[in-house]
Amino acid sequence: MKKKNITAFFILTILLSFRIGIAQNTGSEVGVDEHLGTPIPLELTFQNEKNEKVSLKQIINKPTVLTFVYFDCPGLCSPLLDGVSDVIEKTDMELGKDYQVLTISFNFNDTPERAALKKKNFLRTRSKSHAKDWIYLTGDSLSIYTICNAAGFKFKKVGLDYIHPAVITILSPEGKITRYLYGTHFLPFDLKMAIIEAQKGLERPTINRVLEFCFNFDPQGKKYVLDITRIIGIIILFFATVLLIILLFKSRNKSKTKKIQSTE
Amino acid sequence: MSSEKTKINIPSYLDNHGKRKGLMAWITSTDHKRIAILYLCSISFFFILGVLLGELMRAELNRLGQQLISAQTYNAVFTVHGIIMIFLVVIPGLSAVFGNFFLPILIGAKDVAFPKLNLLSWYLYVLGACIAFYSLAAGGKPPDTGWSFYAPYSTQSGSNVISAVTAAFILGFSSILTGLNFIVTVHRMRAPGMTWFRMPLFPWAIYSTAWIQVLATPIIGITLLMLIAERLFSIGFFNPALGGDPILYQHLFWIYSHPAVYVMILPAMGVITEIIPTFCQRRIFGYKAIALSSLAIAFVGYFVWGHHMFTSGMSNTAQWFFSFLTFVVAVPSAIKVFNWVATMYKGSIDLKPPFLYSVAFIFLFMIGGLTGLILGSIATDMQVHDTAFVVAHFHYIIFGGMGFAFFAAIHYWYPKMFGHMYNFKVANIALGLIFIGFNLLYFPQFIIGIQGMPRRYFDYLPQFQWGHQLSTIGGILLGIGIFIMIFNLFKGRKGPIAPANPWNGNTLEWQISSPPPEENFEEVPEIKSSPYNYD
Repeated sequence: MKKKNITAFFILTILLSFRIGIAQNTGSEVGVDEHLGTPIPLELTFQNEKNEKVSLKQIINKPTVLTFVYFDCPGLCSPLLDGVSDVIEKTDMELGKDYQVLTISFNFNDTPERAALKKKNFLRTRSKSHAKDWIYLTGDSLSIYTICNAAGFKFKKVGLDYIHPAVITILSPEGKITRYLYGTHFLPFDLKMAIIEAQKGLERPTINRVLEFCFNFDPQGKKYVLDITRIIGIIILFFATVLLIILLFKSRNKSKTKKIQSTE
Repeated sequence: MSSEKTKINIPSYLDNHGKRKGLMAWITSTDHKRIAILYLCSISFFFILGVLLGELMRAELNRLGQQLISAQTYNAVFTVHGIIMIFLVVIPGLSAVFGNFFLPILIGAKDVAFPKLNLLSWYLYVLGACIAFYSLAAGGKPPDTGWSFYAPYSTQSGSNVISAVTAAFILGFSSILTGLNFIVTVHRMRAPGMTWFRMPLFPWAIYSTAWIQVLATPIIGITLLMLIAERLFSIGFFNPALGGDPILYQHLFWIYSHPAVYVMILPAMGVITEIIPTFCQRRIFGYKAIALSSLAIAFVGYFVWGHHMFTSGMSNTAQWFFSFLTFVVAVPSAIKVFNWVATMYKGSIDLKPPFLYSVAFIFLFMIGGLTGLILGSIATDMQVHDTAFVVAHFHYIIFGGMGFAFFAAIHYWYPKMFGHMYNFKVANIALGLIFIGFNLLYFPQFIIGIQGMPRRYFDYLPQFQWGHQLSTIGGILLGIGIFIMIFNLFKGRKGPIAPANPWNGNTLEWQISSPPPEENFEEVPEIKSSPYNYD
């Protein structure tokens, strides 16, 4: 009972010492609002990497892996494209026949020329022979806003860069959102399941939702957290040691007589 | 149960002593034996519930595609199955039921050191269980994060995470208080002449476990509080969007939850160590090695948590360090297995149900332990991480280990606890079904796991169907076996009267009447030799 009180006291002290609620609240602005089962607006038009004007309706005719990146990203976008490129190599689904990949820049300053350059960087053996089935799109701010909104992809501009989630979205041949896969590394198993489901137009909720955000690392904040765990660790060990010392060195008879008195 | 009359002259703990009658006499009793029975009833209830949820998952996975439940429901079902089985059944399981009942008797004491605290622990357990139920039944979705509540998903999921986490937090307190109680009991309440190395090995195991409970459980408590604080007040501990670190959550979680595996398995080893010498009528082989290996497991078990996180991003140094220590912690476990087998050598073995359950335990525990080494070595872990292989390994250790030891313990101590005997033949049939069903259920998961079947998926590709269907058949057999076993034990209450020492055991609990009198011993026993002197 006593120990519980002491622990409760420490918990309270620690909670108060945080001055609850000061932390910057960017959580609701950045992330993914899943819109499973809803169609994306197919009438939107973008520029492809060959600088041709294309509408999504023209492109989407098979299960499509949709990725949002921006080309100057110092953080997650390259690992994301790398992950996509990687899973294309590993899966036994055939790019171009069973599915295609669509990469849309959410920075309206990105140009088709830069897209072509970026595309070259991420092509490997299999994707090279099917380069036309991995399409890079750039567009104006309104189209970008509309498509990101429809997919539930929420990002925020901070300085020159963006804070954004890392996710690939799977679309059915009719342009319906059927699946979100999070992270920058994808299992061939997940992709295959997602493509097969998209082909049938089945939407499935996310199973492994490890969200990874591009974020500005805050060393101060991290140190703060680590200190808390260290303090708590020391408190726990301190009490445990005191308990052991008392048990080992305090004479046994004394407590025994006390116990007999208390039971009587 | 309380109305039951036994035909032994000495009034037992089952007979009413105080002013209160019926249920009230039970839930207000500070007698360690009655509290143990309270735990037994509540834990059995949750075990059956957990089994039903497990069977529901097997039914869903029997065929390709969606069968009975949607993917979201499946996520909730495996989460709730995990929370119930881990926090309500396996962690309190052996130490709260058999530790409470037999620890004081085995060291020659009248009760635990703090009887009222003991009852409070049970109430905390019930409170935690009620809140866990609330998280399932209340408005909103049941939790869907998995029993590990991994951040950042658990900080964002729209399901009832907070109430589920609060439940785990309160159950943690129950665990800490029980552990504290047992530590003080072992230090302070041993009968005259019972030195540390004259103590039976079950108390040794419970003592080691109690230290883990006291030292490790506060960590999960704090971690869960941080999680709640993050959800309620957006304090960035774990969510990167708030400047937190999700890997930190994993570290904190496993710093508790890996030692917690030893909270589950150490008492199980203790039980087996009691049963084997009795049924071989032979002194336990390597007494000191077994006693000290319990402490060694408890100690080294603190420093291996990183092997759950080889794929989460860790420095190379940390990886090989954790991998190495994982191999080290296998050594004391192996010492125990060798000692059990060596005890059987040249013993006069009596093939009664408790012994058979123990042998099944050794077999399954070895499969679980050896596959644990596959997961503990970095290269192979990369291949099978988060696959059905892990699920199979985990169930071999927790169910094949702790679960079978629990069954062995109840069959071993049943005549002492209730003063009646169950039917041996039915117990053996149940064991056969449980053993075959168990292996059929989990062994195929090793194979499909290696082939790439991920865990926690409600659907799969056609090539995994054979494994899942075998598993489901195993699940059905296992369910039937468990049902027969529980039925047999339940019926055993009215079975033939059991003698005080039906197995010819040598430890203290067999020297008193069955069921034990309220004060355990009529006069304080004096201990003059080792507890396993059969020769």
